[in-house]
Amino acid sequence: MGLFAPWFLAGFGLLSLPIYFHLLKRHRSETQHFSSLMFFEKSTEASLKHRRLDYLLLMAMRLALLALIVIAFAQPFIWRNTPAGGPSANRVVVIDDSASMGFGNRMANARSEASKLMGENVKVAVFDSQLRFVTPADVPRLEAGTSRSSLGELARALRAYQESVKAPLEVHLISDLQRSSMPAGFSDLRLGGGTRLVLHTVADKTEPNWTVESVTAPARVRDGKTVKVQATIAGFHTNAAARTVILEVNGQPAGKQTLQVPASGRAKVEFNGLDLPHGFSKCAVSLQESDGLKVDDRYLFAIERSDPQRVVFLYGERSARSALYFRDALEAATAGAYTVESYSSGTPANLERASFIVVSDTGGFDDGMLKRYVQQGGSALVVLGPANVSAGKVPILGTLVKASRYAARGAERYQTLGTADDAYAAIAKAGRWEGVHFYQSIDADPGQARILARLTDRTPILLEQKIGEGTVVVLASALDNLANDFPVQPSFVPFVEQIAHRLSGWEEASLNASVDTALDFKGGAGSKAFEAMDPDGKRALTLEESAKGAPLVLSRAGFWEVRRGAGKSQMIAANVDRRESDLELMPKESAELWQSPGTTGQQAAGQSNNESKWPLAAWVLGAAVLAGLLEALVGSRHLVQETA
Amino acid sequence: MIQRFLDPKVLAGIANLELTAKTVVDGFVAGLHRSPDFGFSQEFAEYRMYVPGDDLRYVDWNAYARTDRLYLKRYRGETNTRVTVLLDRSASMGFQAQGVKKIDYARFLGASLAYLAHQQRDAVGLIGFDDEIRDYVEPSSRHGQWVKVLHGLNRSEPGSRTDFAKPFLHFQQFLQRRGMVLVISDFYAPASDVVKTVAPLRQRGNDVVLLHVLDPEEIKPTLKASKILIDMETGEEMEVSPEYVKDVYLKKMAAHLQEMDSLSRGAGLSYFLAMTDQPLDEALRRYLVIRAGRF
Repeated sequence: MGLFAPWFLAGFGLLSLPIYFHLLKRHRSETQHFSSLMFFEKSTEASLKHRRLDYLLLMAMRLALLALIVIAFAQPFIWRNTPAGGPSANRVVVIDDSASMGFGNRMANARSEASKLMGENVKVAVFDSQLRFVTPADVPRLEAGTSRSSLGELARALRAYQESVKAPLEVHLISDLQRSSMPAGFSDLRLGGGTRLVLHTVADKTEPNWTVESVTAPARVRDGKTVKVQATIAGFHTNAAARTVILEVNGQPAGKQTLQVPASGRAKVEFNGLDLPHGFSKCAVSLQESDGLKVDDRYLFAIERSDPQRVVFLYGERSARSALYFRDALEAATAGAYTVESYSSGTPANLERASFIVVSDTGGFDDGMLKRYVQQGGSALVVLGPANVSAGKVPILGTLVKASRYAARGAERYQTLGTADDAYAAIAKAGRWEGVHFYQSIDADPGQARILARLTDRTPILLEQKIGEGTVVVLASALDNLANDFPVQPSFVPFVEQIAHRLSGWEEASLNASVDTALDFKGGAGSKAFEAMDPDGKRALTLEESAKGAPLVLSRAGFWEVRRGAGKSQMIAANVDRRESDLELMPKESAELWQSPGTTGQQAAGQSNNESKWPLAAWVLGAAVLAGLLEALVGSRHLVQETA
Repeated sequence: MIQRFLDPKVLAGIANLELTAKTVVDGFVAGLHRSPDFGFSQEFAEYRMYVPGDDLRYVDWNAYARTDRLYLKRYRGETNTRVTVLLDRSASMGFQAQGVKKIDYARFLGASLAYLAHQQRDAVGLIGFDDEIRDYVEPSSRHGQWVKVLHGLNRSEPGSRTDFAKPFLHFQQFLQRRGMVLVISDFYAPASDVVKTVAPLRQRGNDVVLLHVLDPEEIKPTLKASKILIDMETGEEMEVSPEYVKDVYLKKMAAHLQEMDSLSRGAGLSYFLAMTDQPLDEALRRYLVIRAGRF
């Protein structure tokens, strides 16, 4: 016996209430001296004992009622032997349609095997990373997909299905039973009680397979001549062989190389210089000689070629030097990928087509204009300085600036970086700002912003907040080499580079991901819906789904495009998970162990296959209702006696 | 106004038993609109026609001379009598639910009756008993006898349990001469046993008056919730429910009182139920009626 929700047993504490009211607070008979008990009889006491028994019975009923309700909430169950399979069992035919099933004629064999198992009341399902039921009529049209198979997910789905139908299952699994599909722990393969598993293997041995395992290429470039593309070719259970690799750009061959791949090993090939048009280029690295599994012979990736990004630097009168430091660092880091236009306060600034803006120690620009720019998809780096202390608020965010903090006034002569989000590129890739001394910082109310870093005196130094479609990063210390020595430290250049990449969306321009990856494009408050197109150019999400911020699931291999506000778009290359490329089969012992109920492994995983959890909550609730009726009966009788 | 002083609750506030008795009796007598020297012994009562068999000594020859008819002259009493108060001082007499304790009420009653008798120059005595004879004041009409009786009554505190049989056997030796025996008790014993025990006194020529003293709570208990009752004599405990009192006890008590009354009458005993919330004059009146009927 067990409980589905044992924490509800804490409700047993309620049992103290009837005990308190019945035993501790109950009416106690007073004593009184009386002349003689000559006219009283022992039968009087008997009736009182009877009433007392009634009273105790009433308390017992109430205790039982409460206890049963608590137990019902805890959802008890018993382990019950159920016949696995058998003539009355529901037969489910599960067909593996993962990418590896595309090897040779595995899928055709699977369809053939499935058709033999068809009959009345037979359910058919396909599985890769999840289980989906289909109609028997769909079976002849089933093809291998590009998803990865997960036997652990299959076992979990079958357990859930068996609990929902509450009947024995006879599951026929038609699969190549890849070793890479197995979960980390064998216990995750545990099936529900009463489920009999029959394995139909469509792969009789481990097949050799070649694949383009990965490709490393820049996401965005100014000039294709400097592009370096590096691809890794892997062989699984293969002999050493020479393989020819072809690089394609927008469907056109852009390079071809032959490399020697060791037996069951890896080798890298590099292509230098590409002729890329402006905008996104759909690129692929593929093997010239295809093998039995074609879907992993080609690796897709995208590169965006763009002109230098325009950065608008707005600064106050006292922070002219900050523009100089920033521009120099940005040019040094990105080799001309950005051009910086500086505007001092009081001059009209042109924010059109700016990749991002920097607002440095000034409150002299129209805050409404800056805010609109961000809400429409622009991004900004706000550097706080003395001018913001005078203005009393943080530009764009509008939160209060509390005070200016001087390290020299405290026990320390300067502050350094304290706690920080080490996953944030502008911190991690800038060496955690090592050696940077902060002498003056601006203590601003973070509001809804995420605090990315604090100084050693706990002052928030770096914050980030999504506003509309855009992002605002706040650095709470001026970049004039007075408030701190950040601009002259080595970490300043990578900091500026990473901030620029983040704010311009550089790092998001193109992305490589595996099939079945879910991507979240939900922006900050007030962000608009995004538009996602699948590899066929059709909408992947409805407007309602995208408005609600539903994740985009890359359900198949190909180029996916996401269009967002402010003319920003993103190209995502979805490739087959390369774990599908390893066609090594599940060990026979494991397969036998999985489909044989009551074995050691199964017992270690929990209960034997023949036992299922039989919920008792309904019975317990029934008993509670009965106890309630009895309680009402005994209670009314007791009440009648009391009033008499 | 004086009647107010006959209320047991008022009398309970008077610490002096002598004063209490005098208050009761004088108030009672004043209420009768008769002389305070009202007496019985030689008082003329009535004439009645002579019938054959009557004692010729009581014929009023003067009346015969005048009227030529034979009349008998009747007197209420020819001699003084002996009045013995038998006071039950068992533990149950200590019960008090409202008003006064039964033993106090019994003492007022005993003192008042003794005073009344003493005023008539009757010999007055006292026997206090529970399961033994605890006090004995020999009946006498001498001066100061009433004070002795009062002292005896003052000493009467509730003792142990009641047992009529044992002390009444001893009464025989103290009650050699005929007279009035006033038994003041709550009679917590079967009526047949009480009457069977007391009846020999009557057979010896005594006028026996059973004064049954009970608290109203004993006759009709007001039990609102179940209570554990403790027997004042035996210490026995019993939990009693209101419904039992309502359904059974009242009937049993009523039957007991009825039985006491009927069996007493059947045995020639006078029986009177005195409740502690009732004025004492009713008890005194009953006494006088019985006393008058004795001669």
